[in-house]
Amino acid sequence: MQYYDTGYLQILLVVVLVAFILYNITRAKQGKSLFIRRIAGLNAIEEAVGRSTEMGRPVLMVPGLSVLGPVGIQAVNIFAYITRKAAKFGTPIRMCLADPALYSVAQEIIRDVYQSEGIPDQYDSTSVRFISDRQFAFAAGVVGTIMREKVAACFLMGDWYAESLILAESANEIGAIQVAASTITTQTPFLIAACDYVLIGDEFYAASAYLSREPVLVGSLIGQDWSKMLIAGVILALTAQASFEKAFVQQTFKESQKGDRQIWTREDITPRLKKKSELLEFRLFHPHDPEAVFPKRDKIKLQPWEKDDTGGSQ
Amino acid sequence: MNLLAQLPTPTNFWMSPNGSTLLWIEIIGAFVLGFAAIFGLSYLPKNLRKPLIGIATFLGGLYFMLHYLWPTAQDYSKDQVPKGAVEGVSFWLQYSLPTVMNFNQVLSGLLLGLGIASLLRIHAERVAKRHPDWMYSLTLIVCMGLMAIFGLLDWASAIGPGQAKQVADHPGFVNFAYNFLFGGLFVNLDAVMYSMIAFFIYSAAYRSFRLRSIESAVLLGTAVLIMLSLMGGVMVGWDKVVDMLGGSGHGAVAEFMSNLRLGAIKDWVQNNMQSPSIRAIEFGLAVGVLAMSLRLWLGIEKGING
Repeated sequence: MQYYDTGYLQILLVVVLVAFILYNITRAKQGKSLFIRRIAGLNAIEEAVGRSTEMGRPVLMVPGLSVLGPVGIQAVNIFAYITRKAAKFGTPIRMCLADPALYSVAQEIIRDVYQSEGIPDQYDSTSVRFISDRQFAFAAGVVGTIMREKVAACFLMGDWYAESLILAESANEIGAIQVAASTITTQTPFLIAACDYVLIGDEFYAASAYLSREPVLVGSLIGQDWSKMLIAGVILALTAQASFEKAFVQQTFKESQKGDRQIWTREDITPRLKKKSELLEFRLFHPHDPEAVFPKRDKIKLQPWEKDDTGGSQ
Repeated sequence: MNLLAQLPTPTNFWMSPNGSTLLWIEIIGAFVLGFAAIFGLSYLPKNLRKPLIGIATFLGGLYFMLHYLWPTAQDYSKDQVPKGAVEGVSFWLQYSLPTVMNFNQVLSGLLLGLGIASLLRIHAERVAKRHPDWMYSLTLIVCMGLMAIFGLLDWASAIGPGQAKQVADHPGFVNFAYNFLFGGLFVNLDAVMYSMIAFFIYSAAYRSFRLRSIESAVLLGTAVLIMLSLMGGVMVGWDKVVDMLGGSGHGAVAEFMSNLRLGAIKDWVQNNMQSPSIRAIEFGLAVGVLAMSLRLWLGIEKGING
């Protein structure tokens, strides 16, 4: 049976990242004081809800085209926090969703928020709405809600695609304060252009820890920071190593497979600078590239006639 | 009409023979068990419901994690007998995948029903109470009903649950109606929404590119260069001026001036400024998803509200 060689480095890297996250969660649970920098977009949540309360208009929350997954759950977590703030002041909310599974979960979470605040009667079951799972039908439905209900604050957080600007510009047109976050990097510039505050990249995932200061979440966030530092460190180290190897290290031999058994052989060549596929960094990260594999010479026992055929040393 | 005729040929425990009594028993059993589980969960106290959901989530996550990390045989076929435990697990993971994915599809279908119910409740109430703009709600309900009816009838007449039928030469009323609703209305309305983005980009760009600070000046300058590089005529003119200034031949001045060609500037900005920034953000997002997924999988996700 043949098995696909996926290499070990990627899996090792994921294991290390997971270890960082779990270790920091444990550290935070033990009561270590961990620092989180200020995130302007999250500080603006109270300002936006307060503005809606003053104007007596609803707060709109949209997780874009997010489905029931980490992004969707994170968006609904943040929306639950916003709903709690709004519920305290009796400010109406609207949540529009494009995924029926996420809609069901969001409905339960928002109902729970009102119940835990002791005001279950204020929960309006039509405030959490499934619009459509078709991208532009969804966009049209949400724009309709923005325009008809003249929302005062608009939170656009989740997976955004081409519909992001339609919603953000429509909310801008009616003067709503907007806080946005996109996990799709191509949409972040559009949101920055159209919204008042934008959470860039993983600030979206930092929101839970930032708002709740819950040890599990804060520890996880610090673990994420360690992971990013490790990734940056690996990139810098390998860039330096590859630059050095490419500029200064001479390749003095060539490795190739020969014969019916495809045996690895080594031939001496005129010294030259290394090719891209001969660099250590390339070989580590391309386990299935035939030019970049590390030859497993020591595992093959050559027969005498095979040694003669290749002429190279093993 | 054999509704199960499109199922693949059965070969193992997960797929009983098409149209067989055993398959029907399994389907009815799964249906009853599924609904019993839903009702059972909704009546369970919260402190019992949470660990149960946690266990189900963990098992689901474990399955997919194993599916990605367990050695996967490349030349696997369903008639083969596994050699050893590792290969046995690999085979089991491969032939159970379609069934596990079907769980997901069944759940999605059920939840889509809930979504449609929510939509109908909101809009039917608006129509019943003669809410302002109730006509739009009525239009939505009528369109949704028509699309569902003609979509189903078109599928039954053109494709059906078995093999595709040849109706291209003799399309009936339902096929025309469905084509009109989908191709004639829906696709065009979708395109209308999409094309509106062009105007929104104008208004957003107008606000973004106003000169207010050093940062906005840098943004404006870079954006202008990139926009000019996308205009063929301007690019040719710019490059001619640069070449004139650099002089003819391959001297040091000409070589230096070639860096100021519009295409070279655009490539430098995109490769050395835009791509690294986007990659850095994507690394952060990937690690964020990893952490969030890990918390959900291990049942330690607390949420902002605890």
